Amino acid sequence: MLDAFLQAFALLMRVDTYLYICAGLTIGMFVGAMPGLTTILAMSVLLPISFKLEPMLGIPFLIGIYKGGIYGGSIPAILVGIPGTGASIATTFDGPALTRKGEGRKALEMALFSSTIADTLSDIFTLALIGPIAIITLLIGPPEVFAVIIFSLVLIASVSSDSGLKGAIAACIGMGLGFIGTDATTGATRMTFGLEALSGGIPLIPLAIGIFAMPEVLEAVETRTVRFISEHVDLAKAGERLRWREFKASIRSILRSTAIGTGIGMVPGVGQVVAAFIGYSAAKRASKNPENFGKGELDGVAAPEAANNAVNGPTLVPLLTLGIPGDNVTAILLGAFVAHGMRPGPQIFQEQGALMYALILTMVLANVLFFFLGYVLLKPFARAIQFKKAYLIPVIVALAFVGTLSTGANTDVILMVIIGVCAYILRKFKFDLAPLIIAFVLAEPIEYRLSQSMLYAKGAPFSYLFLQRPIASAFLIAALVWIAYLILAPMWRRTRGSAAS
Amino acid sequence: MKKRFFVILAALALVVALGAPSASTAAYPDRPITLVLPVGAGGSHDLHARGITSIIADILGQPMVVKLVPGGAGMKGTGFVAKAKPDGYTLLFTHNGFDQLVPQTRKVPFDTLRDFSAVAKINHGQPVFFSLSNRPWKNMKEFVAYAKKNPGKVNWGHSGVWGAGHVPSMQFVRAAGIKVNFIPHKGGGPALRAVLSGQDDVGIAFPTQLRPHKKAGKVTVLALTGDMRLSKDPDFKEVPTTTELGYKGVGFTMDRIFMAPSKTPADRLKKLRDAFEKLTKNKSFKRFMRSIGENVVFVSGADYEKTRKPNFDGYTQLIKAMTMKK
Repeated sequence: MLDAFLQAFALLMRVDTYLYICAGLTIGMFVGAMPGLTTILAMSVLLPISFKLEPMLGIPFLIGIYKGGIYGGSIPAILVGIPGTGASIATTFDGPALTRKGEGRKALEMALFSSTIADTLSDIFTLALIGPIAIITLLIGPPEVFAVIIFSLVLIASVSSDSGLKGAIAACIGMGLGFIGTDATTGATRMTFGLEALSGGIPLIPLAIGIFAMPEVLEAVETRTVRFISEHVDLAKAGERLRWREFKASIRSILRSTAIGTGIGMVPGVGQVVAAFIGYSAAKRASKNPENFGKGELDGVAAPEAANNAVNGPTLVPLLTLGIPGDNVTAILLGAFVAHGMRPGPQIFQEQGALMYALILTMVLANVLFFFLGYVLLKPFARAIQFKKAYLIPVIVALAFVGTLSTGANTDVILMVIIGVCAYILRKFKFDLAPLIIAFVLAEPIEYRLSQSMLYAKGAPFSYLFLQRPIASAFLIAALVWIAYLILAPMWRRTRGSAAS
Repeated sequence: MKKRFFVILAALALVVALGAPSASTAAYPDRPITLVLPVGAGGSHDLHARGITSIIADILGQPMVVKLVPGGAGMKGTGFVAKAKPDGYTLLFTHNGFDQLVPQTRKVPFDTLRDFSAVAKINHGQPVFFSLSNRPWKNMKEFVAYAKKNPGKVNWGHSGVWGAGHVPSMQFVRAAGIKVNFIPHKGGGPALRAVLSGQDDVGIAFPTQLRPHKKAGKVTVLALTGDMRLSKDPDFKEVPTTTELGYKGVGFTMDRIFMAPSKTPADRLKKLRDAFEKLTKNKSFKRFMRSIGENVVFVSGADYEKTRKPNFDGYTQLIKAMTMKK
């Protein structure tokens, strides 16, 4: 094994591999930055190119697109509040507020550093512990996924919006929207009002663009300021870069989010979106000034960005050890591996160890390269946001529509506009829409995993859960304890306070 | 002044360029063809399509562009093509389940037999039933005996309701007269994972997916669905078929097929059918299929078209039988 590992380094001694990674990173970043032009799309379109190249060029190229694309999705999220992918939704909580304060470039750089650091750490961790992680991922079945999601929801809810009731209402709307479409366990369509367009459910991208981009545009028109950046900010200072002091203050958040993301990455099917939300919530909870979160806090960008990128390492484990891709992106990577005659699986490290290790190492290298490359490439984006709104808004509107159309159905555009108008009205009533999108994303896995668990339980859910699935029951009990603590702690404090006085 | 002139000139050029394709009567195809896949990225159809589109472009003289329209158990993308202009510039890459079975289980905005014509069948996948090697049964006979002794106890996973794994599983359970606990998963990957993790006792998968696990000795392959052994496959040639074992009527091979809207002009349809026939003889295509571990079993569009109606009627019977008794 060590032999193969050393041979892998020999395979990496060539310049063209690095050039292909850099090309992939650049393409990926620009594609990811266009809302709706997803990384998955870019990878599938460029997959045939990688077929024609040799493995040590073609696959690193795809890996570059993958890494660049994930980061690219954060750029519009930070600058104008449009999440390019589901993973960058949590980044929109603080990113645009920072941009308005004239700290857009700082936020972009903070996102870049936290993503690449978290990704590198999680990749190295995964490489070192691939065996144990593979065993853990196999222990996680439907009941565990269900329990982890419930536990995460409780964590997220405990730190979210100021108005608990409005947050709960938004979450209920989101969950209701998530149930529209095809019931995954029976295959029946439901709550579609007989509309063909809804039979596959509401797709995430049109929903996210409708909820975040449309109200943003309408409000930008409404406020009548000349630029997105607040008028009180000196434009000459607006392009300032991140200071070491500011970065240092967020290191704790980055490391915490890396741990969270790496853990979440072992749970199949929940992935980046949930990790980002939990990373954000945890950072807010641990922060000395949680009231700044949502109003433009650099920590609020670092935490979700580190968390969603730390998921990447462990999601590769089922791909490498079982040959089963954990998500769509790794499925395309699997396609590239297979087309080059490597079928990942239990024996891949014995059969083609050197090449496999070399490819995993290119993932780590891609992060390191991106750390520097991104630093250079970010400038035009940071500049662009300083233009007048009169130029930017038409571009954003066009991108929102094009992005929505990328799902392939014209009806999604209508959906996006309707959702956008509704979201604008809800925002006017001071509703926080983050719980809506979280609930929407999680509605489907919650229901699906619960019904699967019920099938496994064969009519005896409690004995199945507590006798056969200790990990799941631990998470559910932890969630209950946490809820109890949240309710009882203030009451206890109050009675103690009154007793003291 | 001069600037405005150029702007007008450019605008005119644009109008001409936009109008050109519809006005011209140039030989078909004179612009890129869209290939719609009613599935998400990363599955076996996606992988096939990437290889095929990169090679068929040379045969047709125009690129073929993949467009993924997943959702609604394949019906969203299928409906998209049914409604597309039947000009030969929009094709569908699907399989017989989406084509002949699923439209019968729900309300769809098209009539699959009337609205689509087959262009070509590229190959098919024949699923196998399998278990982890550490289970108390070593072959299908022992498994059936075990399942009979423990009715409803065995967890049997498949890739989704009315999917390529569900149908033969139901057929088998009926033929063997056993009761099992069916667990639906989201696609073939999660279904395979559930068996490998010991969550499900029996699963169903395609040989290409299962090969590395069989080689590693992790899984026992119980039976191949249908009545033809994979006699050329070194890893799977010893696997008995369900017909051999005495379970009649178990068989759902997944045909990977290309379809066009049936109103596509005859000469264009012919051109497409010829192009796909040429493709299956192409060297780099064969090499691509070998490297992804898939066979090539070409059936011409005209021949495949003849089998659609009988298969459709067969599924009508199956769905009736499956949904009636519970």
